[in-house]
Amino acid sequence: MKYIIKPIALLLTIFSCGEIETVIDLEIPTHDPVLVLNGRLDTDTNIQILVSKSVGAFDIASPSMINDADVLLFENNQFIDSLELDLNNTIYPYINDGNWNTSTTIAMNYYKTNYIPIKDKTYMIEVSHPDYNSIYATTYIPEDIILYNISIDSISNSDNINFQFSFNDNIDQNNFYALSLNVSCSKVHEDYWGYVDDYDYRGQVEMNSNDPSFPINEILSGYTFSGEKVVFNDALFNGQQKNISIDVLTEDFKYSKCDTIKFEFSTFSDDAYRYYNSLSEQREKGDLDIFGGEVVPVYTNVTNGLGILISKNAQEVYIKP
Amino acid sequence: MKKIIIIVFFFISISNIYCQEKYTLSGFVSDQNNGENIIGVNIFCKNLKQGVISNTYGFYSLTLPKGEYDISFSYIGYKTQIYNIDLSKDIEKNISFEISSFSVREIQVRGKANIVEQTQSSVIEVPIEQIRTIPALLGEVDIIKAIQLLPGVQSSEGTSGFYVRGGGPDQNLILLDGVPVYNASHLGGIFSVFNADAIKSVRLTKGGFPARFGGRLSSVLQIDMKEGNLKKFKGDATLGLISSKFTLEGALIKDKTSFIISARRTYIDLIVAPFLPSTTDLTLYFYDLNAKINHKISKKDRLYLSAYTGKDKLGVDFEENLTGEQSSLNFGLGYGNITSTLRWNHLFSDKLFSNTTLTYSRYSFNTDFGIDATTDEFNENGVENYNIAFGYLSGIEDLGARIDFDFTPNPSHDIKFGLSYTNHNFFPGETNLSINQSSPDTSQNFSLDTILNFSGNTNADELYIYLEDNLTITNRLKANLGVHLGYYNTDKTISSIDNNLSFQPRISARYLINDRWSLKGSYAEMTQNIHLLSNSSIGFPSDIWVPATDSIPSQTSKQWAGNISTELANGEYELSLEGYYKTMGNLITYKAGYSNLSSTESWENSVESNGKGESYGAELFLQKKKGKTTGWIGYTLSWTNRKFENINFGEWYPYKFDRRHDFSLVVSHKFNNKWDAGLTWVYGTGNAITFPQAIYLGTPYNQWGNQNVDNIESYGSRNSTRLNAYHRLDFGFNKTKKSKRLTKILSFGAYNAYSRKNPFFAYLTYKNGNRVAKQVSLFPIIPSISYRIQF
Repeated sequence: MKYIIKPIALLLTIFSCGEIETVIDLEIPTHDPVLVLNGRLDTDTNIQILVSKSVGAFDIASPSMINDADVLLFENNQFIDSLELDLNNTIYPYINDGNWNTSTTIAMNYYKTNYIPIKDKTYMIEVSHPDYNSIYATTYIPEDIILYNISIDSISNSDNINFQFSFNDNIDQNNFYALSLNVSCSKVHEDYWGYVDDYDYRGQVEMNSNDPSFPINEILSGYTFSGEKVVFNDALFNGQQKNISIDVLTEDFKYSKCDTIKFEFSTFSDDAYRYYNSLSEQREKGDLDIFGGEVVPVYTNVTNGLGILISKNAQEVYIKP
Repeated sequence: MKKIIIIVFFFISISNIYCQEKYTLSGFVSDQNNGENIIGVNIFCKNLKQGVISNTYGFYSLTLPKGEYDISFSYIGYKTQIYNIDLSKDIEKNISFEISSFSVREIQVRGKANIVEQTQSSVIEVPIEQIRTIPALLGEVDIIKAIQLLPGVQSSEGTSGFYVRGGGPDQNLILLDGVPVYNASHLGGIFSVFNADAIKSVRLTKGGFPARFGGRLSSVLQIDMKEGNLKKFKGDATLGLISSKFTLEGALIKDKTSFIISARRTYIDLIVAPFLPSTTDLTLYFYDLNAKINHKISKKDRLYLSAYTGKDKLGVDFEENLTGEQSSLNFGLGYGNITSTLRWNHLFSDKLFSNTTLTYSRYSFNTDFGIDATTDEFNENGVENYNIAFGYLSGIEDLGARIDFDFTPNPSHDIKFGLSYTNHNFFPGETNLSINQSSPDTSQNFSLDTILNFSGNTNADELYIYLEDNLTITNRLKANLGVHLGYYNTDKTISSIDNNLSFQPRISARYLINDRWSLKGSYAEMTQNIHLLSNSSIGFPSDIWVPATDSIPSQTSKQWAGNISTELANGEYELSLEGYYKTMGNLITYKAGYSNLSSTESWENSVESNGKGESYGAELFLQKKKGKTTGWIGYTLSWTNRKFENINFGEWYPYKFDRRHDFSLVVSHKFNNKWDAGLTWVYGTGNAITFPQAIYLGTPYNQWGNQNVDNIESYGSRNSTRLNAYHRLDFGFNKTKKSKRLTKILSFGAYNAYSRKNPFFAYLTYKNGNRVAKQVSLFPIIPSISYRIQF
């Protein structure tokens, strides 16, 4: 029997070992470069935006900045100012192509105005350039949110510290929130060999919660959410009082050893929520893969072009001191 | 309710129109050689130009006014029989058909009444003899792959899934002896579960659904198993490259009780085993087992018991023994169907035939993964051990009962009515996870044993009643009017009963322009109470069936179709051109970016619901049914789109299987008594995919002390890019050698004869610093050889 089986196996192997991967041309719709507008408006700083142009997905050229565009600012449909290119403050961010191939930088200059946006107003930016179609985008800056019933419990449970607070959601609009807990503490670290080390830590700490509005990203810890920053919306509590409860594990975080503890609580536009969610989902899951799902397109609110104009109303609530 | 009353009243009133003295000619039609009942025999009274067709069980009933008539019994491939009948009383006449003598020289594609006469459009019956001559991958004759060659049916490389008129793969009701088969694929879709040796007939309905069908939106594929030879003992064995199979059939009691048993198993694992290292065990095979017993209790009663079981198994066990460390890894995956049917045919009178059926169907998918490791390398005080065990199970189990009646009061009416009940038990995904770590340092010990549910078990009840009448209005105009009334409920439903009821009207009509041309039209509303969750284009066995719920309602469709049919060259060719328009509602799809391989969310939170679909197009079908050369040309021009609120920014987009052009050529030729050959060529527009179209800069941000900016890919509209076109040529030859007792058939051929690199899927990568798209192809040219013995 083996005299039959082995030649058959050999035959199958020969015929199935052909190159199964081939470089191909695809009928991809042609892409003419368009203007790209990126701006983040918040109530603390003057308005500054970036203008660049896109390239085709298979082009050898990379996206590049446009430094000779006309950029106009409107508030509630009233013209406010023209933004001027600031050539004195060039930034050189590393380009992240999705694979953290960050060795390349790009020179970027903002178009700026001294005008600082105001909460509860709608802003529009219009960009025009002789070589491209004009583009525009609008965004709304949300109202302040007042936090109350703030409490800290570092006694009941030795394994964690519990933080709680409440706020009222505005029933008239879709609201989007971001929450992080920022600290300045002396932390204790014990390494594999048992050496104990004290060091100063400034930054965000990991928050744990079972809040139904938070995304579910945990299955084993007893919490449904665990992370340094949470972004959520009001779909489950629209127009109601919302109570938030956060646990911070005390394994390497001691309340008494912290000089500063503050919540950074931001309300932001629908556009910002959709942009950040879609961008992180595309990065996290979206590569073309036969086992994966469909690609998540990154949200854009720029008409006739690409990019995003978003707004944020950020508040800091100090718990300590 | 008003609509139902009107329709019932209409049926009753027209059945009472004819009041003159009438008598009935009735009986069963069977094959003289093996006693198998023949479906679709045309029984025709030339004098009155009236006729009927034998039903699924070979029964016919023709009621005519008192008189003497020439009645012909005809069926392509068999000798036509004409009897002079004096119908002065009710007559029972069973007919045994003999294969026509010229069939030894020619391939005869046997089929029912010609395409011009049939009332129903959008139906294609592919004779099993034809399927056998179609060249197949690795020589495995495959019913689903043959169905994929028909107009209006799309498929993708290497899969057993099919897409009918823009519908999803879950919208096809695949019935094996009347029982739903939930996953018709082996080896992840390379082969289908149906062993052609055990199959008697295959029929696909794409539209104009008669009222007796329900439960799926897009098609009904009826596959009936052979009943077993009532005359003599027969055998059939095939030795192939990757599988072998055998079929035995015969009479337990001659002309009264017959059986058939057919089995198939692959042996890829046995072929590969000598090439694997001794530390690795591989399990990779599938098997099928079909069995059926058919017993004639009396002239009026017949009992059938049929069963099918099939399973795919994939497993890898790996062991490693190193100094101070032993580890083992095992992975297993299995899936399969079990179906069984108990069927009782009873003849209440020569005009009323009943069929009572009890059915059972189960599809399950399971996978397990385990690691066990022991080491003393890191600890001087003893041995550390850890093990991880992961298990997953999902599936669906049905228990059903139905009763169908055929009532033929006169040649102008063929009334069918019945009732069906199915209990579905969905178990959409349970994961067991156990992790244990033990160490001499007990503070390091860890143990976890948990169960995670993708969704809880759900019980659903599905009930429907139907009534249809195939009525002859004039000699030229025939219609099939019907209504299908469904009720659906789950143990988690809280909505009112009105929401659980569905009223599904069905109508199709045929108008004979002359003896050779006819016009047909149809309208059908369908409801589907189950969904298939699938996030790949392949149709994995891990795809999950889930019930419609309050938040994810039942899918619905409406389909209009119009058809013109003719016979050419004295009936040698049949030509039909059909246009259709279909709308679909309450469709679901996974949310963008969702992968069921990594998510822990419940399925209801993982899908976009309330989707809409539309599909329209035209299908041309030219079939040659007689002569030495038979086959068909099929061409489909179609569009199919989807719309979901949260996908593609709420705009319509092409469905993944939107295929503008689809062409198939199927040719079988019999050279002489020894040699015959088959050839197929298929062409299809490439599948629609979502591919990046532009790159642009995002907003700069700070991370890990650096300022970064994202290069963002813009994908444009969903599915706006096309993969390359699919085309393929297959051919095969059969050499037949007959002796007194044995028939030996040597078959050889090639799949994808010119080794076209057809797209399976595409992805982006870099080559020499440039961004390129690469496609993965599955099958180059694959030769095949098999040897078959019949006795």
